[in-house]
Amino acid sequence: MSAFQRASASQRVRAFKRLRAFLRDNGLSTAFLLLFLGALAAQSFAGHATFNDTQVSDGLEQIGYLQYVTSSSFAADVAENWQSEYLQFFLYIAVTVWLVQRGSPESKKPGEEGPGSDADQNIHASATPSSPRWAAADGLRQTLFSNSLLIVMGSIFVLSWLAQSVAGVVAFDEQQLNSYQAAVSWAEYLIEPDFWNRTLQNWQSEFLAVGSMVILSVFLRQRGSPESKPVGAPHDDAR
Amino acid sequence: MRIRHPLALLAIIASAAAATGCSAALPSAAAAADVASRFSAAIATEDGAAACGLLAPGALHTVEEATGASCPTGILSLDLPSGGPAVGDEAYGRAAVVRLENDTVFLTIAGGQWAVRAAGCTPNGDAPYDCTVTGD
Repeated sequence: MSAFQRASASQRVRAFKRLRAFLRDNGLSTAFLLLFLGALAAQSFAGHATFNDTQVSDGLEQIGYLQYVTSSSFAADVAENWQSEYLQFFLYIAVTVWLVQRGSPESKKPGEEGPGSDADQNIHASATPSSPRWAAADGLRQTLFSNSLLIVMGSIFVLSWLAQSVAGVVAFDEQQLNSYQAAVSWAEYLIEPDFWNRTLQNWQSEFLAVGSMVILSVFLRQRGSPESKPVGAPHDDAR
Repeated sequence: MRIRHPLALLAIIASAAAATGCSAALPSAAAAADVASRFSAAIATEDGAAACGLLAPGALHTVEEATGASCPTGILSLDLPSGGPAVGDEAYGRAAVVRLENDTVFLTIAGGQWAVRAAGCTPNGDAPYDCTVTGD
């Protein structure tokens, strides 16, 4: 074996080890990214078939897969679910600052409501050498970083909801015209039952799931999951 | 390319989402108005063949079924109004509506271009328009 081949082999081994370490350290995000992409692809195939079923029943021409995945109908279907998921996390992050649920691992303990002290949060003078730089900063930078998770999740929620409304009005108007009915403007669509039905059917399910998790995690356990208390922890123990 | 920051990943996802929201190239509303105007002119000049050449397959079938005649003959027996020039047009996805001076025409995309799906349409409150020719 030549020196080049030996070097390549050792480089390949190092690359494999780096990849394995990366996947171990990022298993959760990698798994959910793959699940997301798989589910989105599956949704596109099912949605395409459903769209063409409707086209046939309306006596209209069927469309190709690429035309469907670039259509307003598909964009509205995707965005309406995105906005509700990001709203769910946005609300939960915000509400758990101030509200608690005794015994739930998803909550702080009673008495800990509020944003916490500088010492609790390792900010300003209490920042440690390993704290992010903006945690030690003052003023706007520190405020922004202290609320960055909420700001980003809230921004994605608002943008997704906006995208739902913009794509939704086009999809809605296409259906209106296919039914020989008048189209509506974007502002009119915002008070249409279609917009609120799409929105609220997602919101109610998210709120139910979060509320269920808060309550059930008080009394039920999943060994090994950080979303659960230890199996032997008492029901009224928050951690 | 190595993504160095989670926000960069978010930007990529947002860009993909924006791209998803953009429709593939579809004929314009102006093109729909052109087809509706040509259909109206064909009716006005009693050129049944030209009018039928602008119909969507479903509408053409309906005309033949309703009149018991070939489309070029049957469509002229339906007393469709002479619509006149287009005064307004809207297109959403694969559907369009064109308001002519004396008629309203609904269109759909067939074979990559606009085709007339309904004509001789008058408003009916919040209910669907009443149309002389419909595609289903």
